[in-house]
Amino acid sequence: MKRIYVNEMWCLGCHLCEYYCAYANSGIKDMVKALKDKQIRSRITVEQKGTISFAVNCRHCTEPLCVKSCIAGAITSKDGVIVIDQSRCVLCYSCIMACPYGALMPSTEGVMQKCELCTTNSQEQPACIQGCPNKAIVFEER
Amino acid sequence: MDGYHQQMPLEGEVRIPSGCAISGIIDRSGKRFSARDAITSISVMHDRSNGLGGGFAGYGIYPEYKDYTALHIFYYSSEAKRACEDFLEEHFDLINLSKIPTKKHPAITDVPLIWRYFVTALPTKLSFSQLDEDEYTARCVIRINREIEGAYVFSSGKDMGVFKAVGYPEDVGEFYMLDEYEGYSWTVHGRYPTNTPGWWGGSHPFSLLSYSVVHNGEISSYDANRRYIEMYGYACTLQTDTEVITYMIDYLHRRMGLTLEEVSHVLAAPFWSTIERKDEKERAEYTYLRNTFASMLITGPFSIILGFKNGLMALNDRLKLRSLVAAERGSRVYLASEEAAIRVIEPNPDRLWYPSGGKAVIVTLDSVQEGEEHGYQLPVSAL
Amino acid sequence: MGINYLYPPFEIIRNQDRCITCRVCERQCANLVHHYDAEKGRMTADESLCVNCHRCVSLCPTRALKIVKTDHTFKENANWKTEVIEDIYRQAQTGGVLLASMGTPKDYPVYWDKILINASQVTNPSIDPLREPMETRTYLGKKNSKIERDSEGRIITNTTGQLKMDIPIMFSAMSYGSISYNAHKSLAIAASELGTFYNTGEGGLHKDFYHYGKHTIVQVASGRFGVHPDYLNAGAAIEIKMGQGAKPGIGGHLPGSKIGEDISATRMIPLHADAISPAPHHDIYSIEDLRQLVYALKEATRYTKPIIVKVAAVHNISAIASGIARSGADIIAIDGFRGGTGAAPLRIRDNVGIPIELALASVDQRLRQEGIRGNVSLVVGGSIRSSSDVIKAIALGADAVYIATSALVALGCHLCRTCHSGKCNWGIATQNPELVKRLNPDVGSQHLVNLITAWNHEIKEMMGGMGINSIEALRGNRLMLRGIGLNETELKILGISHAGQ
Repeated sequence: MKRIYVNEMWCLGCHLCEYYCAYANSGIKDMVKALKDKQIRSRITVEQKGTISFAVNCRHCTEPLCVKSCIAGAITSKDGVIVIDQSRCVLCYSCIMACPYGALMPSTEGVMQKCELCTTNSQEQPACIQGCPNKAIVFEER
Repeated sequence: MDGYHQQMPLEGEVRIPSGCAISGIIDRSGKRFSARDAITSISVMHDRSNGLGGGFAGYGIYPEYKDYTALHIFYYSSEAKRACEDFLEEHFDLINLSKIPTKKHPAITDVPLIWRYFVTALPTKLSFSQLDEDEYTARCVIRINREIEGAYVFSSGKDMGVFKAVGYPEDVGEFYMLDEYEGYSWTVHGRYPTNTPGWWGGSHPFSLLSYSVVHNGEISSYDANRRYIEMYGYACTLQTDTEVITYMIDYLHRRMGLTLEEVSHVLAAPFWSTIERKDEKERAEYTYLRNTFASMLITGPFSIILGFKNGLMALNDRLKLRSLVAAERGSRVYLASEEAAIRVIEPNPDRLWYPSGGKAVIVTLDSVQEGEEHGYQLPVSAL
Repeated sequence: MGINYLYPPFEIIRNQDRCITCRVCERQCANLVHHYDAEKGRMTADESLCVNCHRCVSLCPTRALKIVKTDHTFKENANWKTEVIEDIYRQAQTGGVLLASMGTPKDYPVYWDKILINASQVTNPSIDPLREPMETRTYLGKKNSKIERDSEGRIITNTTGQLKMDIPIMFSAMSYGSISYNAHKSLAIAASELGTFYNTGEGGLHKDFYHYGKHTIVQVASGRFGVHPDYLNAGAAIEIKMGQGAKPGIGGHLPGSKIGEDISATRMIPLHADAISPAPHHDIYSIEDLRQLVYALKEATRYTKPIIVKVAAVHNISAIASGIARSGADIIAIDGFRGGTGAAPLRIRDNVGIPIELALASVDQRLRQEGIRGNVSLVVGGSIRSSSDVIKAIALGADAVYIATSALVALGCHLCRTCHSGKCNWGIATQNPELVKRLNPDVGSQHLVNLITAWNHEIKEMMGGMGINSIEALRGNRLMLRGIGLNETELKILGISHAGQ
């Protein structure tokens, strides 16, 4: 299955992936309307220290700890892509504590959100891939 | 030439594209025949010309003078004749000279003085120049054409001659009374230029020494070819395709010592993709020829018939953008722009075929050994 | 501080309605122009630091930014233009030689734009490049003038010392030091993929790139940086740099601050020592000395590699080229005055040298007049900007072209002309690892391959239009060109007629 991989050598720490992710999952067509003066909750996060940076998102683990931890059964694996049924989330935050990558987080509406490889929004390809200006983020099978 | 200078620029002052008709006949046994067949052949292709140029080249027509160079010269004034004859006397032994006999023809007008000289290089001058006879003669001819105004040498070979004028080729044949000559090969050309040159020297065939070329086509590589060949002492005064092609053949065949087949590999080199598919040795040879003589590659449509001592060669461009047909019957081989032009003189050939683009058809007299087709010895190591 | 004569030439216009304060402009500007004002919750910009490189503009996800020329003006003066006045202010303040980068932007005539190309019609068919073979393969090197045969009468095919390329375009010299490691890597990868060559420039060849040697031209410049036997034998050809179009007559200067570990090792000079290439080669004071160096290099490489001599286009370029053609060199590279540079004195870049179009035409003609055009191949550079420039160059007589600025633009350069600061925001003309990171060679090389492939298709289309299906038939074919808006002298030098003739 294709996953998102980040090559730390090319990551510039520009954070554009975060903004494109937030925009893609906003459901709003106009980027300015989607992001301006709004709190940005992106499903991919740039970790930075000194001159080293790279973006981190859900690894869609083959043995997902978040799925095991969800007491409401809201998180499931659909053909390998780990997705959240937001209508079932009860905001217990168990998944946040379980995920070793910090890939889950509360959305602006409160319920949990995570990278779903843009399978649940209108993007054909993950938005972070398209938005990265230096091809540091790739979508491939390894 | 000044008296004939028209308002429009002449051949040589401007480049005039044209479409044409060509035909050639050779008898491999060396049996000589008149130009009547050539005249008949070209008259079938009448509509390919527009009456603004026609000409013939005959080989084997001067058996009594076969060791002497036959110079055919146009003079547009008596001063030009005098100046030219002075030059000839300084450089050559004049064996025989006369007007070329012609018959009045209503369609052939504005006739200049047409003279013929059988000459041989003056021995003292020749040895002083340290050139071989061919090179000496070629340089003299180019000098006359470039420097003596009003004089134009249009044929300079041994035991061959070019006969040309402004008019339909069949009329030109009648004008020069070519029925009365006999040669083992004849080529003929009819021209369709897009301006009125009014200048006899511009007709085809173009000739230098014993090479004569008749050509149908318009080459897109003209200026690339011209600017390269002019480095070697040639002057493209007529600005025609035929002229530059003839000079390149003279250079590659006579001065570089390539065989005619190798010459065709330069002028109509196969595509790189074709060369890649050949075996190693051939690939190296084709690549070497094409690379060494890169600026002599001809692009654009052309079909030529080259006349040379003891033979004819026909060659098409690689994409075969002009027609060329070949046929044979018995010892006779025919080459022409159209099948009809062959069938009118030989209704039942033993074999008739359309040569592929870029593949030369080389026909030599049966009596000639391979490698001697140009009478030019290959280097000693090759024997 | 105090009094400021130099008003920033650019203003940064930010559409505050579109700005989403993503701060990418702040993060990515090496000149520290943009700032996020937390109190106001808005982005601000200090235009005095802006060099108009467009990094921020290109990355802004909502296209909220644009850079405009300031409309702050001096009183209109056709003679005392703004730059002229400001240059004097700068020199009065610093006492220094003004430096500039890239090719001269001055308003001299661009002859490529005044030449038109032919097409075949009626009397001669054009050729369809999609259906018929259209060949752009070129061999550079000396062409033999004698045919030799073996004992069987077959031709001896002795062709050592030729460069074979599928497209008549090569990447011109840009030294490692003036451009980054990643830029060199992009060029090397692209050259290999395209079947052409790139040039090390005078900075030597980095050890990581030796395996691209078959597609590398190694340069021997006046400073002889990085020149050792392995270096000479690593490349496919050796180029002796006598001059460069952007700065004829002077050498190069790479400041010590740019000489890090890598560059010090590649150039074979001490760490942080200024790398100054002298103006002449100090062992070439005359044409016969050049011949000596040419043969020295041939001996060192056992006569297997062609030798290129690169010269700047100056007034007596024809005579110089004639001398080089007789010196044993296989290829002459001529660099016109529009050529680029990492850094050069402004006055030399803007005032010295002649246009490549005129230089090429007169060199080609002179070599033919002397009957020696077959001794060398001609490569030209100095602002070849498009495939039509390539066609025109070949029709004027070139065998191939060198491109450099076009290649850098393909890599992302926006011609802000501040390379000499070493803070190239696109990762091209810098050694700062943070900035060099920005040029991903996978992306860069792909862009270069795309560019040259696209140009090659266009070249084939134009060739087909002219009825030519092999590029050698276009070489020197001046009848395929006509001038437009050129005077008699210019037409005569170019050797072409005016449109309509």
